[in-house]
Amino acid sequence: MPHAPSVPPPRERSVTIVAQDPTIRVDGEILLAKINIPAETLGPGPVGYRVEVIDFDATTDTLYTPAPRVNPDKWSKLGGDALVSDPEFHRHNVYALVMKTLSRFEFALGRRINWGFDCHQLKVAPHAFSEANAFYSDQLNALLFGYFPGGNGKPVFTCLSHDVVVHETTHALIDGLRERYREPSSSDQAAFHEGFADVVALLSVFSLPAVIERTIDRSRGDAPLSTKLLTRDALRQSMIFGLAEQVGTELSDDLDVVRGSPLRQSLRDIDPSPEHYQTEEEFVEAHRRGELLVAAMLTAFVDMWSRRLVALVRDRQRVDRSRVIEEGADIAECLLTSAIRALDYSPPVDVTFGDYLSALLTADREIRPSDTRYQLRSSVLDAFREFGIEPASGTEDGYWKPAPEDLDYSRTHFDAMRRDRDEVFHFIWENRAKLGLHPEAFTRVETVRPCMRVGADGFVLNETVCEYVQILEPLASELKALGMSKPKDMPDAKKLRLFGGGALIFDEYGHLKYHVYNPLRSVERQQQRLDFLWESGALRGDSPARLSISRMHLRRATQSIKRAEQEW
Amino acid sequence: MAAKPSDVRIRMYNVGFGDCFLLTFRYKDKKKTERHVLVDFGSTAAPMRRESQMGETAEDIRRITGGRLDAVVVTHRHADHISGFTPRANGKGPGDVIASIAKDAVIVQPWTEDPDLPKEAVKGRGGAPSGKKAFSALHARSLESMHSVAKAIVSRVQRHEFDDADVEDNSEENGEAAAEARANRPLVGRLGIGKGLTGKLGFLGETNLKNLPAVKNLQSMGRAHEWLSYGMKTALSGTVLPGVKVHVLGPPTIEEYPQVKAYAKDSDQYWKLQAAATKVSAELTVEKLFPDAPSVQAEDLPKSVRWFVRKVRTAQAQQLMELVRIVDSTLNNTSLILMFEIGGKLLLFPGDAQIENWAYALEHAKNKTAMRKLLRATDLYKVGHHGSLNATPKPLWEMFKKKPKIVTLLSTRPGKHGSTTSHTEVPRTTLRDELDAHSNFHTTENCGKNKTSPLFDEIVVKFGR
Repeated sequence: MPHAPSVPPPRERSVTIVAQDPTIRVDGEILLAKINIPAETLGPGPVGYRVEVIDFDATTDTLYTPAPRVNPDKWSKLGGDALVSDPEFHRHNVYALVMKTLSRFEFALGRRINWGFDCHQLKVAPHAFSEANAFYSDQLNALLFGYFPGGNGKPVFTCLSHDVVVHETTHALIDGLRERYREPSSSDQAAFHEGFADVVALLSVFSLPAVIERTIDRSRGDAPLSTKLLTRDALRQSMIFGLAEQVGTELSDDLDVVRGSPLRQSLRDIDPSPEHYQTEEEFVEAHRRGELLVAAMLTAFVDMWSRRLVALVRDRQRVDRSRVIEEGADIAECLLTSAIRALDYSPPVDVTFGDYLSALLTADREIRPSDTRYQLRSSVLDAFREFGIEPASGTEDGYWKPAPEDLDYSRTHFDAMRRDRDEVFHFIWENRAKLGLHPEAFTRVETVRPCMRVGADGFVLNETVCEYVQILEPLASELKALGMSKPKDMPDAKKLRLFGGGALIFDEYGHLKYHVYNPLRSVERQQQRLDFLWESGALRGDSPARLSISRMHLRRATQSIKRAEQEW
Repeated sequence: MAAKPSDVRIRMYNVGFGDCFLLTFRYKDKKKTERHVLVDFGSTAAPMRRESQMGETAEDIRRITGGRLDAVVVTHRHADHISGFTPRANGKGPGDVIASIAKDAVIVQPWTEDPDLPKEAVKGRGGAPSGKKAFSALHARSLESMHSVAKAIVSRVQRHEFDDADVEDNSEENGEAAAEARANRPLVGRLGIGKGLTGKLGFLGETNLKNLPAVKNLQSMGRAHEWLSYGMKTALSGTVLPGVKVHVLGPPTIEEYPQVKAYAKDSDQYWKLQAAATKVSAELTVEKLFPDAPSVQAEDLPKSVRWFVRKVRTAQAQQLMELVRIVDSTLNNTSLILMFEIGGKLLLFPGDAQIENWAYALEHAKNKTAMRKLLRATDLYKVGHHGSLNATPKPLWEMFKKKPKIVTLLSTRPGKHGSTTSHTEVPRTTLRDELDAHSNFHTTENCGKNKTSPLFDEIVVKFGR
């Protein structure tokens, strides 16, 4: 008998999740959605190769034990209310969203992504404690989700909020990709973590057609929509109010105390004005500054969506509702992928919003040379400029300049450079002058990552992305020799840490395409950073503290603003 | 009676970690009239190496005022400023003494203490708060929620079992007796923190409890009450204290502070939910979230998760610590900031106002230029919040042009608030050194040294013609 050809196991599986959060209902039923996540053989928890759900509740000192085996089709046959009262579903819901976010990042970046700690599995506690907060903790290697009694007395579970779970997972992923972004730096860097996590969370939610469908006027059923509803302003209004339409009770706002209302703030409360970013003190605080990044990205999203729909209308006055939804979800997906790819093209230290803008434009052009369908790059550039953020490249088009042509490749082996940090360091060493490295600083290649990115049109881009960092630790009394001045009242014996570093992007032939860097030698940038950190009190202690996500979330929720520059 | 006082004697009482100041304005008339103003009376920790002196302090106040206070200023509701007003069941406590001598006094407090403040903000179109004092009502409600959070934290700490994270769980040993002990433990158990952090959590939590007996005693004493906000007129000016002008530099109302008003609704929502969440954690027997779901209690944890469980417990405690710090700051920022102006001399009493409260007077108020001019000429400064790092804004200190002659009064006790490791100790060393070097510095830490009274320190400020 001939052997029957073996069927390879599926690489993906479809799972049910709460689409937005349990307050969003359709005809009284909680809005659910299906998403595709990597298939794997799960252990009870669930526990997989990247995520371990441990359902420990510190408030009641209870460990909920998972079922030994769960039928993967079980959830799709139950209604939303049955699901949200089942802790097993909570565990699988949060697992699915973490894995979906991880897989998005891995698709966008074209490789496996490590967590920012020395462990393969991210722990997730879906009911960690009775508290209106959720956060990523690198010290616990975990995401912790709180729960609290809602306005109607029923418990509100942050682990069932799609955007909250994606937001926290994004913090964990940024930490794995750009560990130094939690070092004390400019207000932009402190804001970037929170702002970027909001961007990924919101675009992740909007990439679900079921959610987009909720935002569009439903008063006329499935009838084609008038173009009056598809202008930039009309779409903005729909997005703000459409998702909350169902809810007239306080329950709809309860999760906003955890997520911070980024949607409302970015599309309604913050008007596009350069003053916010450039001069207003209110927006120096990290969580407020992050809202500007969200505002710029969502403005770009709405612009792209509106422009696409107007292009579809042409001579007609109406557009099919399903087409509007489909385009919105596709654009959200496209923009999200580009937003994630930009991380590889961002400097690994002292990132600014301007750096990120140039990174996004450049990374997107590399994988999607043609941008006629959505005009993503022009929309993003215009939106960022509306909010006063100019590309750090210094070029009018915003793209990073290519790497120098005259680098020396003669003594390095590219095949080794695709995986070996020492070989990359060899390359950096041979070209240290041309790359602008500081000769006395400690230099370390932190990562070497070959990647294969695939564009929507099937275009494949092979790159190797590496990050290196340079660290110098002068005393305050030695700043003058570096061309800097000591901030007022700083003790001479104060130990300091200055950073420089860059991302090296090599093409498939081993030639350096881009060197995206913030040089340690940049006196102006180092002075600005030092002055800012001293005045804000970040350098008060012996060891400046790294960004704490939990503390930042608490400050955001309570709107407490620290004026550390006025402290003793 | 003379048109204005000739001097003021300020008695700074050594109450430990707290504030108590008696201002006696003396007039050179035939009767040698004196007007007495008590500013705060509270403590959360006795002076170093001494027992509580609150009873003695009250009696001294009674004696020196001749049994009559003209005004009682309560800058804000923290225990270290109002605990002394708590009456006792036998009617002979410090709070009873003060009530008995304050029968004709004007009681002055910040607007947040007004019992007639609406409890609920009327909602206008779009659900936004509407009407007079709508936002202030939201803020007042937030403060009540914050008290609930503090109360829940204190309750949780009192039930805490110390959990040394380095000690391995040895529940596999000891067999039946250990199993029975585990079964009898309350559900709300270990916080996962040691004695040090537990102590700080408890101290700060208790500071932020709403001391209802003290609050009620204050409401019932005196002949008149005022609840003040920035720029308001007060009976202290001219009526209670002839020849004295009293400026109110804080706190602002929410309505007049756009930067805070914008978030009043969100803040109220957050604290309401957080109060409900921490209340759950404080209950002695709190029900499990999912009573029917299979579970194990903490004593029977599998080895594979014990590390994580310990860490989550500690994370929870750290969250509570951060919460109570925010509550503490917010309540500090309800402080009355009063400037007494007499004969060209300016005496500044800001309670525990922190940078955020000061920001209104210094940066946002319409008449900030005039206020800054006033502040520059300060002759006496009661150091804010017992010398903490953020209650004497550096720009404010740099503004004072009468250094080193400016008199500074610091009522404090080290070792109770903040930590040297994180450079948040109270009093803050850098501030204390600055006060010592560049002002006529008086601190209650020196009471009882070099034959001075252990009960108080005293200075006299003379006024020109």
